[in-house]
Amino acid sequence: MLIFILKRVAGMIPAMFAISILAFTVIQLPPGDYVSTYAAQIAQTGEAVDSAVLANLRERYGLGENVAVQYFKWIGGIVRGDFGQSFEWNQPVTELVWGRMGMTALISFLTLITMWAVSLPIGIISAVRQYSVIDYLTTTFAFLATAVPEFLVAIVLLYISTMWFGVSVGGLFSPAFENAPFSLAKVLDFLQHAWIPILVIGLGSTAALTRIMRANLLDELHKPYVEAARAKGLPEGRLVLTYPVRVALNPFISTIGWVLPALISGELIVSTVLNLPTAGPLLLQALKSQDMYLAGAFILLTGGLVLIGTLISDILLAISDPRIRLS
Amino acid sequence: MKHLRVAALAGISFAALASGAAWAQEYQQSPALDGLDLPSVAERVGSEPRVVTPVSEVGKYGGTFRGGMVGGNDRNMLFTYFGYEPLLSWDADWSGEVFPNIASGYTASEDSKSFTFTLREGMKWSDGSPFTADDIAFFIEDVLPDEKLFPTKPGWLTVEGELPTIAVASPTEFTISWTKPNGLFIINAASVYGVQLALLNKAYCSQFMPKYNPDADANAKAAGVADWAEHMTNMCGVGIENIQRWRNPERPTLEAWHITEPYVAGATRVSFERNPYYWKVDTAGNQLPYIDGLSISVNAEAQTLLLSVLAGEIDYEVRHTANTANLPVLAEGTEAGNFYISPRESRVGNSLAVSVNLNSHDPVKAEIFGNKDFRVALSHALDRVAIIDTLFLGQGTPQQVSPREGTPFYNERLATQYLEYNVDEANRLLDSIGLDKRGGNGFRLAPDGSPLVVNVAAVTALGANADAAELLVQYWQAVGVDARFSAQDRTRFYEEKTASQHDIVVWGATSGGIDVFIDPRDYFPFSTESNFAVDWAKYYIGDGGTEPPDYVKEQWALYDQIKGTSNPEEQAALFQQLLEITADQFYQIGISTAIPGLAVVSNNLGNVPTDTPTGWIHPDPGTLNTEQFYFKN
Amino acid sequence: MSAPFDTTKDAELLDQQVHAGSLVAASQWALIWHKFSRHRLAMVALVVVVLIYLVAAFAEFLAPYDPGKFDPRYTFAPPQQIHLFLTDEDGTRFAPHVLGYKSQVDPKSFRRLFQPDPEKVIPIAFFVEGQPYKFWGIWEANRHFLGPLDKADPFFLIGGDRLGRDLLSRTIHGTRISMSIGLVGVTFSLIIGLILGGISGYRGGLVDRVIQRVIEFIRSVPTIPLWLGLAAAMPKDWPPLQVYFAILIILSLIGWTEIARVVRGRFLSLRREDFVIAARLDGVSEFRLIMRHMMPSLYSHIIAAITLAIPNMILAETALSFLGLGLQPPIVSWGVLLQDAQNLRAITQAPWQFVPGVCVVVAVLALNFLGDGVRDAADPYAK
Repeated sequence: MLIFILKRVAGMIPAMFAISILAFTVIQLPPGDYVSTYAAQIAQTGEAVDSAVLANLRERYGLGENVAVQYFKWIGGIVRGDFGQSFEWNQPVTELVWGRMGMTALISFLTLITMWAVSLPIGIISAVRQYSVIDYLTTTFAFLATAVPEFLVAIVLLYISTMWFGVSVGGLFSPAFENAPFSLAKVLDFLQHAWIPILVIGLGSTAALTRIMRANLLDELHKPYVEAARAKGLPEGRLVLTYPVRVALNPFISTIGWVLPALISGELIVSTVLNLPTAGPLLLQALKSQDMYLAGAFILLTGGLVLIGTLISDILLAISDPRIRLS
Repeated sequence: MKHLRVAALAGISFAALASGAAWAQEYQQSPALDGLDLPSVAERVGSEPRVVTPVSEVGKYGGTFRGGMVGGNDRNMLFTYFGYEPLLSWDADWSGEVFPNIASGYTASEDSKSFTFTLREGMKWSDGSPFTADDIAFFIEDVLPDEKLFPTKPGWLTVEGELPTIAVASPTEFTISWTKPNGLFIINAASVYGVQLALLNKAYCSQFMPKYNPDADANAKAAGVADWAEHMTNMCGVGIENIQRWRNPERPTLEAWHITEPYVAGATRVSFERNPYYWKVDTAGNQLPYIDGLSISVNAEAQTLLLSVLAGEIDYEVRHTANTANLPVLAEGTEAGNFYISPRESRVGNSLAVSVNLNSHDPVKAEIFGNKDFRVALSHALDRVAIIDTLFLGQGTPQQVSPREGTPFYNERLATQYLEYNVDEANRLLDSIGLDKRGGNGFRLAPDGSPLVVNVAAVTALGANADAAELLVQYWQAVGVDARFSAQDRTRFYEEKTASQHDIVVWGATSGGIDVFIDPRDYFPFSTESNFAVDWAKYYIGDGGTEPPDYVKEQWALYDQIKGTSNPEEQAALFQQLLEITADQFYQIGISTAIPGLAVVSNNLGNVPTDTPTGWIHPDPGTLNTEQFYFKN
Repeated sequence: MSAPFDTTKDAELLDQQVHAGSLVAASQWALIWHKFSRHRLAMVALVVVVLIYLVAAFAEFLAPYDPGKFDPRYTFAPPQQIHLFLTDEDGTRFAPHVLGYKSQVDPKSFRRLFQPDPEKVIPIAFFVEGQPYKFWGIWEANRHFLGPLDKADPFFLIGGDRLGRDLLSRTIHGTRISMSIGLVGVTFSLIIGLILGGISGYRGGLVDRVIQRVIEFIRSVPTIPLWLGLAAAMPKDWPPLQVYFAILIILSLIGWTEIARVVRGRFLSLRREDFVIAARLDGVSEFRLIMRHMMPSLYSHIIAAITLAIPNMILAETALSFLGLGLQPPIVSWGVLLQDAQNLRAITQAPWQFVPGVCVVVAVLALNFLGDGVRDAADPYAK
C-alpha cells in the first residue's frame, strides 16, 4: 500500500511541474503589465498618476526581464516557499494565499461531503425504484441543475437570503465574527453562511453524481448474483446494500478526480458573487490587474489541490479494491 | 501686502485659542476612554484645539461606523473617508476659501514664494507624542528629497523642478519657500494632496532611515524586505496614496481614528479605533470624534456592497454604489434599509467628455479630426436630450465640457456652443469639409476616397461610458460617419490613448470648480489625460510629443501666469482668457451638465450635510468632517 | 488472390438476397433512428434543438428590431401581452394587438414607471415591414416575422433593457452567437479529439500512454482559472469577431478530451473486432482501414459526444462573459445579455432580463436529452 502511495506521489511531480509552466504562461500572456494596469486604474477614479512613478515601479518589480529568467526566479522562489510579491497589495504573496486557499479547500471539501451525503441515498433510491415518481423527479431535477449557470443561482439566493431572511450579506461570517478567534459560536455562524455557497457549488455536480450512482447500481442490480440472493430470500434492503451498492461505489469514488476540478472552478465563480474570503475573488482581481505572482500562486495551488484530491480518491479506491493497488 | 483673507484666517485661529483656554477645564471625552490610563482630556487636545461647529447639533458619543470597500486595492476609500487631514482645509461647501486645520493660520509672501504656517500648541500624535514643526521639516528635508522614497516628486511641491526649503522658527512656526513663485500652493495644501505635509511622525518614522538609525538597513533585512526604503514605506506609508498607510497599527497618526485591523490583502474587514489624542473638539467642549470605531467590509463586487446598503448594513456610502444607475433600486429600498438618499453636487465639467484625437498618427484622420467643423458636425449630430433621458434618467441639461455655471470660471460661449440637435447642419458641415463622397455601404469616404472608419472607444467596466459610446455611434452613423463602438478593457484603453492611437474616446470630464487650477486637463493640452491632444500635452510636460500650434502655447503661457500669482481674482480673469481659446478651438464634445451625485446615509447617522460637492480633490465625506458624524441612537 | 475468406463474394450474395426481397435489411442509420425515435424525451429535445438552430439561422428575420436599436422612452419597459381579440364599440373581433405604454418618471427614483395603455392599441401581424436589415450580411430585406404594423410603435414582447433596446431581438441575435459557439467550438474539439483519440486507441503502447497522461493532466486542471488566464491574455485590440474565435479555441482546447476518450475507447474495442482483423489480414491499407471500416461504426458515438459537449461550451461562454472576460458588446450573446442581469436592479425591477438565462437552460437541457438519446441509440444492436 505504501509503495502504491509513494508511486502515485512521485507521479504527481511532473504534473505539478507542468501546472507550474502552464500557470506561468497564462499569467505572462496578457499584453502590458501590472504597471500599465495600475496606471489605468488610478486614472479611472479621476486620480492623477505620474509617468515617472510608473517607470520606477517597472524597474522595482523587474518587469523588463527575460521571460525564462522570470520563470526560474519564480519557481526557484516557490521551492524555497517564497511566492514572490503581490504588486497590487505590496505584500508577499505567501502572506495571503494560504488563508484564502485554506478556505477554498474547506468549502470544496464540505461541498464534496454534502454532495456524497445527498447523491448516494437519492441515487440508490432512484435506482431501486426505477421509473417511480421519485426517479422521474430526481432525473428531471438533475438535468435542470446541471443546466442552470451557477452564478445566476448564486446572486438570486444571495438576494433572497439577505432581504428575506436577514442573513448578513455574503461572506462566510457575520461582521462580529470575521476577525474573531476560533470558537463554537464562530463555527455555528460559519455554518449559517456556508450553506449558500455549498448549495450553489454542489448543485450541478450533485445532480451528476446522483445519475452516476443510479446508473452504476442499475448495472449491478440486473446481475445474476442479485437474482440468486433474492431467490434465496434475502430481505430487499440488505440485498441491495450488502453487495450491489458496494460494487457500484467503486466507479463512484473514482469520480472525485473530475468532480474536484469542477468544484474548484465553480467555487471561483460563486465566491466572487457571494464575496467569500476564498481564493476566487482575489484570483479574479489579480488576473484583471495583472498582479502576476499572486495570480500564478493561486493557479498553481488550485492545480495542486486537484492533484491531492485525485491522490486521495486513488488511495480510497485502492483500499476498497485490491486489484487496483496490485496492478 | 498680505491678503486680507489671510489676516482673517489668523483672526479665526486666535479666537479659537482664546476660547480653547477658557474651556480648558470643561472638556469631555467619550465614555469608551473612561478608565483608561490616559492624561486628562485638556492635556491631550492641547491648548488650542480646532473647534469644529457640528453641522446640525452637538452629537452623542458611541457606536461603530459601518462602511464598505470594493475590489482590489481600494485604499483611497479609507483616504477619502477618514484620511483627509491637510494642513489647511476646505469647507464642506467648497467655497474655495481655505480654513485652518492642522495649521492654525498661515501667511503668504507677496511674491508667492514663501509661506509661513503656525501650528497648534500642545497638539499630539495618536501615540501621545507632540506634533511640531520638526515633523513637517522631517518630511521636507529628509523624506521628500530622497530618491528611494520619492523617486518622483509631487508636482505641486515643485516649481520648475525645484524642491521647497523649510525654516523652522519654533515648534509651532515654520516657513516653506521656493526661489520662484508657487501661486497654487495654498489651494493644493488644502486639497487632498495637502495631507502629504503632515503625514509622517518623525520620532516613529525616522527609526527606519539610515540617517537616524545606523541599523535601519539591517532591520529591513531582518524584516525580510529588500532595503530600508521599502521597510520604511511598509511601516510608515510614506505617500498619501500608499496602501501601507492603512497597514501598521503602531504608526502614529493625526487622524480621528487609527487602524486596528489592518488593510492587508485577503482581509475581509478593516477596523479602526478612536484616536484618544485627537485635536478637535466640538462647540460644547466634547473631544471628537463622536463615533468610537469604524468597521469597513471588503467586497469583491459592487453589487454585494449595494446589497449590504439595501439591507441596512452600511451607514454611509458615496464611492461605489451611490450612482445614477442604482438610484431606482436605492430609492425603493430606503424604508427597508433605514437610510436616505442625500443629494451631492458633482463639480465636474460635464457628464462625459468625448474627445476626438487631434494628434492622430493617421495623416488622413489627423487632417479630418483636426478640422473644427468635423467636431462641430459631430456635436450637432447628437440628440442630447434623448441621450440624457436614456443614460442619466433625464437629469441634467445639454452642455459642452466647461467649468460649472455659478463659479467664476464659467464661460458661457464654451458651455453652450453647438448644442443644437441639427442633422441637416451636421450633414452640411461634413459635406463642406470634403466628406461628401459616399462608399458602397452608404458611409462617407475620406477626401482621398478611402473608407473613413472612426473607432469610438470606451471602457466596458465603466457602464455609462460604454453605453454612451453605443448611442453616439448610432447618431454619427445617421449622418453618414462610419463610427464603430470599440469596447475596451481599461488597460488597453489607457495604453492606446496614451500612445495617441485612438480616434475618439469617451471618458469622464474632470474639473469644473476651483480645481480647474489644479487639473485643467479638459481645457488645454495639460497632461496625458488631455485625451484630445496627448502628443501636445507630452510636449508640455517635456515627455517627447509634438510641438503644438501657437494658440496652445498661448494657453500654456496664461497658465504659467496663473501660477505666478496668488490673487484669486487675477487667477480667475487669466483663466477666462485661457477658456476663450478653448472655446475657439472646441477641443472636446460634451453631453450635459454633470450628473447630480448622491450619498446613501443611514437615518441613524447625524450631522451629515446635504448638497455638498464631491470629487477627488475635495473628497467626500472627508471634507464633511467625519469626526463630527454621530449616531442618534 | 483466392483466399479462404472472399468477402466480396459474400457481400454480393447478400446484396442479391436483399434485392430479391428474401432478406430484409436496414442500414445502421435506419436502426439507430428506429431506436432513437422510441426515446420520446429525446425526440422532443431534437425538435427543440432544431427550432433553436432555426432561430439562430434566421435571427435577422425573426427579430422585430435590430439588437442595437435603442429608445430612451422605453428604458426597462416591461413585457407586453399579446391580445388576440379586440373589443371596442364595434364589438369583439379577431385583431391581434399589444397595448402601448403609459409612462411617467417617478420623481423620487427617476425611474420610468410603465402601465399598459388601453387607449393605445398596436395591431401586430406576421411578415410586417420594419427596420431594413441585411440577411446574413448579404441580402437586403425589411420583412420581419412578427411585429407592429406601424414600425414606430413600441413592441417589447419580453421587455426592454436599460437603453430601451428590445430584449427579444437581442435574445434572438444572441442565440446565433451562443449556439454557434457551441457548434463551431465542438468542431474544433472534434478535430483534435478524433485525431488524438484515434491515434491513441489505434496505436496503443507508448503513444497511447503519453496521450492518456496529457488528457489526464488537462482534466485535472480547474478550468475556470485557466480560461480566465487565457481570456485575460487576449490582445485587447482584437476586433470582437476575432475574440469570438479565440474564445472558441480556448473552450475547445479543454473540451476535446472527452471526445478523445470516447474515440479511443471505441478504437480499442474495434481493433479486436473480427471485421477489422479480417480487413487487416486482407491487406487493406491503414488509412482505408480507419476511414472505411472503423469510422462508420464510430459516427453515432461521436454524434452523442458532440451533442453532450455543446451545452458545456454554452455554459462556459456564459460563465466567461459573466466574469467580464468573454465576448464584449456590441456582440450579443446569451452570456453578454446575462451580464446585464447580474445586478440588483434586474432582480428587483426588471426580472425579464433573466430570459436569456431561461434560453441557456432550455438549450442545455434539450442538448443533454438529445445527446442521451443518441448515446442510447448509438449501439442499435444492444438490447
